[in-house]
Amino acid sequence: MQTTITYSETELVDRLQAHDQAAFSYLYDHYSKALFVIIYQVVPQQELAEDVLQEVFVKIWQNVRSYDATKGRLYTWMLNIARNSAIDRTRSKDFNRQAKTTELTDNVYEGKDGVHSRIDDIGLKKTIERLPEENRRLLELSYFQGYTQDEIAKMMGIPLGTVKTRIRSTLLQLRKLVGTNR
Amino acid sequence: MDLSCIISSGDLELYVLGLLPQDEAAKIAQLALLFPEIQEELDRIGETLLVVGDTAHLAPSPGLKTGLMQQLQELKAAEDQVAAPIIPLQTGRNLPLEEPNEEDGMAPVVQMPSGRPATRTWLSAASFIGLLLATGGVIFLASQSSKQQQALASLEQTQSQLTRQNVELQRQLNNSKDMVAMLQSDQFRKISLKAVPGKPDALVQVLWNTQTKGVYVSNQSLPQPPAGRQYQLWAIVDGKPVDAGVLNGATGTVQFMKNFERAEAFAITLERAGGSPTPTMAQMFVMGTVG
Repeated sequence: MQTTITYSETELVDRLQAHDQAAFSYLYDHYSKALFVIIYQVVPQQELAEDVLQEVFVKIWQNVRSYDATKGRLYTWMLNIARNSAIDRTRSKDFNRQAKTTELTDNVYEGKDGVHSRIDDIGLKKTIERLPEENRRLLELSYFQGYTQDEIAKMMGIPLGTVKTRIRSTLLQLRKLVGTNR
Repeated sequence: MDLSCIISSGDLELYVLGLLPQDEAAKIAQLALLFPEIQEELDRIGETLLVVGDTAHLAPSPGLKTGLMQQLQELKAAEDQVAAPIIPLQTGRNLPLEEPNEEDGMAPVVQMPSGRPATRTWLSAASFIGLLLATGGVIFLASQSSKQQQALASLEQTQSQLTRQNVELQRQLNNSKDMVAMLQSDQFRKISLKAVPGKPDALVQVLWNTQTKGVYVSNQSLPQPPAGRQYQLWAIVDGKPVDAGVLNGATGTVQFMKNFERAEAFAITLERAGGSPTPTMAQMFVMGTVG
């Protein structure tokens, strides 16, 4: 938290919709890193990921006026923009590291070691190494990769209904670990 | 409503992760508005995910923000530039997509060669019908799309009109506010100018700041001057008219003219644009003496 000002979410949205520069600066300070981590998962190259991040913020700027708080939280909205922009980038011509993406997807499918290496790669090990293996994988798939419940159920070979409850227990554990469980 | 049931369902987590189908997500968003407990839970889930992201050693390079903020500033500047001078948008008429011409679409097909074997004729007839259907389809789709384009263009036009109206109303409002402040202030002396015989009734006031000596004109209803003409204010000092400047603003505005230490009366005449050195007495519209 670099800035001392804090906005409530509605206040922040109002200011963003007015294209207030200070609000965007605040948004960047608070959310850029989390969004960057998401992007990096899909586009694992510092420069390209930064490029996508910049694009994401421009998209936020351009589309924030059509953001509707009754349809979802700002964070969720931005998360989706980040994921989709990153995925779009992997489809574009100038993305020449397809090998790496394929490898990543393979890892996810085959499980076990793949998830380990990926999470180590971005330096999250310390935070989530205490989660049980299964839960770590679930977090990877749902948060960092944005797979749907259906897909997660198939990949992990668990019933659809279980995905939901496991995600919840994973996030509850995580909450204790990162100390946001006030 | 039993909230613990919703909170423990796991739906809130999926919602924050963006994994809920749209209709279910909308339900959760609504619940969050109604129940602070739900909102609080969503906040915590979001916060946890943010903190997880923050513990990564990965980060965008520090210079990125500067570049981005600059880019946003440019976008903002471009936006302001579009907003300031109000250019009427004529999007409705000259759209690139034209209504497709039915005759053009079918011209090459109509020429059917004669004297062919029956099957050939039948085949050409069939293909002709096929082509006709396809052309019809294309025309239908194109006209649908053109209708949508037109609808969009007309929406854009409406929006630009509303923006223009809004700007104009803002201007009028600010003006009225200034005027009210002036009228309420004791600092201003109000001199009502009355229509001279033979000229249309008009409501014009001179507001004279007794401290700064500034003279303002509040023109509420002088008729619109013809092209190439402007109203000019005169202060009568020692029985002689002294130029007090021309009126720029439209009716309903307050305009600062000049400073005057003293004057016995004020009058407004219609002069050629830019004003005259001496007033054209026949074109005097209103006048009022300083009581």
